[in-house]
Amino acid sequence: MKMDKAPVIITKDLEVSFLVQKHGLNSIKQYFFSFGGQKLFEKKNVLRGINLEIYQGECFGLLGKNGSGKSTLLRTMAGIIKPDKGHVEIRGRIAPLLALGVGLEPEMSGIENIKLCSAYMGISKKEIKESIQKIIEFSELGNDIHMQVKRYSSGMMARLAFSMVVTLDPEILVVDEALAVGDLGFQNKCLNRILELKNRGTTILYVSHNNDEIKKLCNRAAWIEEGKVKMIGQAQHVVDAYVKQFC
Amino acid sequence: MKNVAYYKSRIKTYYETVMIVALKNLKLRYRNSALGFLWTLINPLFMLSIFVFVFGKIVNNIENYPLYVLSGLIFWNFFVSSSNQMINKILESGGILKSVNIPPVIFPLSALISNLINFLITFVPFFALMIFFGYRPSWITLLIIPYIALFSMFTFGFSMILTSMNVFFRDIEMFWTSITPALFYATPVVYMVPADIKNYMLLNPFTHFMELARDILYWDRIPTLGHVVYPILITAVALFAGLSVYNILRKGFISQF
Repeated sequence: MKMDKAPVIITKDLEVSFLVQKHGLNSIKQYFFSFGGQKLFEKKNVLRGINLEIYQGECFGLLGKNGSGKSTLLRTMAGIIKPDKGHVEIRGRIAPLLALGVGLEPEMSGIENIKLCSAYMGISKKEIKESIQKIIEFSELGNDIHMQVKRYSSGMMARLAFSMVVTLDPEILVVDEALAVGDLGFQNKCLNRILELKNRGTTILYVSHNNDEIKKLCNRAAWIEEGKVKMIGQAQHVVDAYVKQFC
Repeated sequence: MKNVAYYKSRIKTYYETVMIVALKNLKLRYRNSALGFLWTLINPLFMLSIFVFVFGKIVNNIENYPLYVLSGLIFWNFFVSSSNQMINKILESGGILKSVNIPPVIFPLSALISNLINFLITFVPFFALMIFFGYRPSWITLLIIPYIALFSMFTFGFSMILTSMNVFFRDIEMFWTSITPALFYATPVVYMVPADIKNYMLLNPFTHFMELARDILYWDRIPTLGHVVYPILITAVALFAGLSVYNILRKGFISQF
C-alpha cells in the first residue's frame, strides 16, 4: 500500500440521504389535512458513514451490488451531492467520465459535442482548442466526428466520452462503469491509457462490475454494501471476498 | 485558501459555459427548420395582425394602434418564451447535473441568454416596422437598452422561482402554461389601462413594465420617476426572490433527477 504518498481524497464519516417524494395526490391530501405534520418527502439514507483515504497516484476500485451507493459516493466526492454529515476533502481537479450518452446533444455533431461537454466539465475554451485534435485522434472516429451524434452507435458514443476525459489530463479520474460497450480493441486501448495515466501519477477511482478489470488495474479496492464500507484492502483480496458471496 | 483569483477563474469558466450552451440552444432551435430564424418574426407578426384587424375595430381610443400593440407585444413575447424555455431547463439537464459539478442555474440562464440574443436580432426588423408605423426615433429611444437589460433581469428572477419549484412539482409548468394567456389579458399589452381600475391594474407587476416600454417606444417621452422606480424595485424583488428560492431548493435538486 502507498501510505507514503499524500491522500488526495479524504472522506470522513460521510452520510448522504435523499429526499424522496411520496408520489400521488393522496400524499398531498394527507399533507394538507395533517397541517404539515406529515411530510411530503421521505428521507432515504444512501451513505451511512463512509471513511476513506485515497492516495495520490493509486487506482482505487469500488465494488458493490447495484444500489449499494457507489455512484452516490462518487458524486459526493465530485462535489455534486452535498453530504448531510461528515465531509469530503479533494486535492486536485476531478474529471468525471460521463455515463453513456449523458450530456450529448443528439442533433449536433461529434466535434460540437466535444466542445459542449468540455464546457460542462469546466474546461476553458483555450484548453479545448489545444486538445481537440488529440481527442479526435484517440477516439479513432475519423470523419464520423462530423456526423450527428444521433446516428452514432453506443460504442461510438462511449469512444467520444472516454476520449474526452482521458485526453484532458485530469488529476483525479473517475471511471464509473463505462467501458463495457466499446469494442475489444477500444476497451484495451482505454485500459492501457488508464494504466498510462496511473503511471504518470493520476489518481483513478474505478467502478466496475468486471472483477478482472479491477484486479488488473487497481491497487486497492473497497467493497460498499448498504452505504457502508464492508471491506477495504488490496484489490485482489477484496475482489475475491466479494465474489465469494455469490458462490 | 479560496482567494479572489480562484473565484475569478471560476466565474470566467462559468461565463464561457453559459455562452456555449446559449449558442447551442440557438443553433439547435433553427437546425432542421427551413425558415429557421424567420419563425421568431412570423409568430409576433401573426399576433400583431390579429390584434390590429380584430381588436383594432373594438379598441378605438388608442391613436396609432399598430405601434401601440407592437411596442408591448414584443416584450410580452420575450417574457413568455423565456419563462417557458427556462422552466424545465434544470429538470431537463438532470443527467448532466448528476455527473458534473456545475451550478444548475447555468442551464436556465443560458436559455434566457439565447432568447435574449434572439430577441435583440428580431428587434431590428421590428424597430423598422415601428418606424413604418410612424414612430420617430429620438435620443429617448436609447433608453430601450437599459430597459431591455432591466426586463431581462426581471424575467430571469421571476422565472427562477418557477424553474426551481418545477424540479419538485411538474405541476408548476402546467400551471404556468395555463395561466399565461390569462395574464396576457390582465396586462395592458393590447389595450390601455382603464382609468377607473388603474389602481388594481398596477398590482400586476407587468403593467409597470408595459407602461415604461410605452413611454420609450410609443409616447416618445421621458419616463416619470414612478414609471422608472417601480420596475427597478420589482426587478430587485424578483431577482432576490428567484435566487433565494433557487438557493433554498438547490440542495434537493439532485434527489429529483
